[in-house]
Amino acid sequence: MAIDCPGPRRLTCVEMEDDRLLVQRLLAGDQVALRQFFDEYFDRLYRFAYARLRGDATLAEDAAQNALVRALRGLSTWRGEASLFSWLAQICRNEIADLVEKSARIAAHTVSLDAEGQARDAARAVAAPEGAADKALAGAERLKLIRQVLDELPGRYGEILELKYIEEWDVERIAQRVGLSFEAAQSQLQRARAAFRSALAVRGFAAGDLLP
Amino acid sequence: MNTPTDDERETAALLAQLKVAPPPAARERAFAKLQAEFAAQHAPAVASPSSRRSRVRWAVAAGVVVALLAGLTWRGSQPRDLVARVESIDGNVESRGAGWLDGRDALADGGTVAAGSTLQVAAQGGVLLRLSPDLTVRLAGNTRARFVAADRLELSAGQAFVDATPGAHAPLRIVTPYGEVTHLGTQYLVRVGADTAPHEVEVAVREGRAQLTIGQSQRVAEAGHWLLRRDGAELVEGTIDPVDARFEWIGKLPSSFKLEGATLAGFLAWFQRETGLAPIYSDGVDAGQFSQVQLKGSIDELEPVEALSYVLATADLAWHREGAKVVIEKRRAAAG
Repeated sequence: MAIDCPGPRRLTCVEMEDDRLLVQRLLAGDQVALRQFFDEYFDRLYRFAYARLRGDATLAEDAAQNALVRALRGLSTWRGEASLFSWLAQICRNEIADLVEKSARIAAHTVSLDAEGQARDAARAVAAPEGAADKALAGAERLKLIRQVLDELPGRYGEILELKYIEEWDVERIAQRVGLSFEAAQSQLQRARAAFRSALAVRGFAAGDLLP
Repeated sequence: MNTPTDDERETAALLAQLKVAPPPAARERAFAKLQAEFAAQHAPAVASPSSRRSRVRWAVAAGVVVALLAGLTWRGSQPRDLVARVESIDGNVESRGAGWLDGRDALADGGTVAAGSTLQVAAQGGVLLRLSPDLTVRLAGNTRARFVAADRLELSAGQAFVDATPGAHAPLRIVTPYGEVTHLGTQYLVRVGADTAPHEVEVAVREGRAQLTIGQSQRVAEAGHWLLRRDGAELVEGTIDPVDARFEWIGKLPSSFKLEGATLAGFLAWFQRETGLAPIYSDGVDAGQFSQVQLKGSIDELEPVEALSYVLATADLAWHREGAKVVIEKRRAAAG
């Protein structure tokens, strides 16, 4: 299938073409494509969800899994206007929102809090009234903050940093992915790091503050 | 090769915190789910006949088709006895109807199983079927079973775990190539040897009693015991823990539990039934109050141990496992 993508974004078109081929093969029932689809995206979606769910591995698994299943069901609606991963990430965001809502519902309402009810007294009677630790969230909050800053970076800076330091791609592969020359990708990477540090500084953090 | 700058090292260290990988078991579960969805979307189409046929053969074939269509119409008008409903499913489970014209379908959550259907559970799969309000049957991966009727299951390979409410009238006969099993209540596993261990049948009882009949002889296994017959030899028996590894797969297919309106005591009773893990209480936890703690919300799609964490957390309780027990204790402040 020909895609009209002129000029400096030529390699990005290659990326889109790969996505389109993968989707076509999936729609045709190609089992090998299914394995490729899973291997390519499950771990990334899991990481994507993990940081947004405060490091809850179980929920991250559910979010990534549900997102892929939903994507498979709606694959024919993917128009190729965004990369396949961007589309999957959007589905995953919706899954995360559902899971967070569900968890909050369970956490907030599992024990009846009817003001005068026996249940609350009973719950109080069986449980320690104080001591629930907030400190344990510190690590999870840190992950969430880093993730947020990454997401809010302008352009494709966030994606470039993610590919380089989380997915461990080399610069050449990143260059192909984002449609730049090797040198331009290196330069973008440098700017992305600077933007990342600036964004942290705006929130009052130095990079060293967020290291474990 | 460029030496990384301090700035790059620091960014790398910072972002490395996001570098987490899903556990292999999580990947397996997710892929199995995806495969099941894929299989459901791409069920094999009916093959078309060869175009090279003589006119006479076409005429014969047309006659057969007419007959088949008439048969289909007749079959379509016949009510099918539904014997079970899918309450929980993991991975791919294929169902094939009793008739030779019936196709294969992938079972789905909430789906039904008609009398005479043969189920084939994929290696990584499993399914929990409800036969009545008081009776469920779970089928493990690599299991082939046929529901002859609501009270009769033919198990030709693999494992079935039966759970009948204690004291309820919920008869079920499991017929295997090497003997028949009936329950005298309530939770037990029947395994029929497949490729790796053919010609054997095992019954392991977690709760209540089950009876194994081979020919004219009958033997009853009590809770915490197993019976095994291999290659026509004498029956052997032994003891089994309620949380033995042989029961492990069952926890992946929990029966549904309506949390809304249930008490904490009721929830814990369900948890014990699902997992075989008995709750005990640490000092300072007054379990006597549990029957007065009303619960709200939902634990749908959670495995029993996940549900336990959610439910206890809301009452500022935590748990840890000690062998076949779960110790319920007051929540402590986490370190760090």
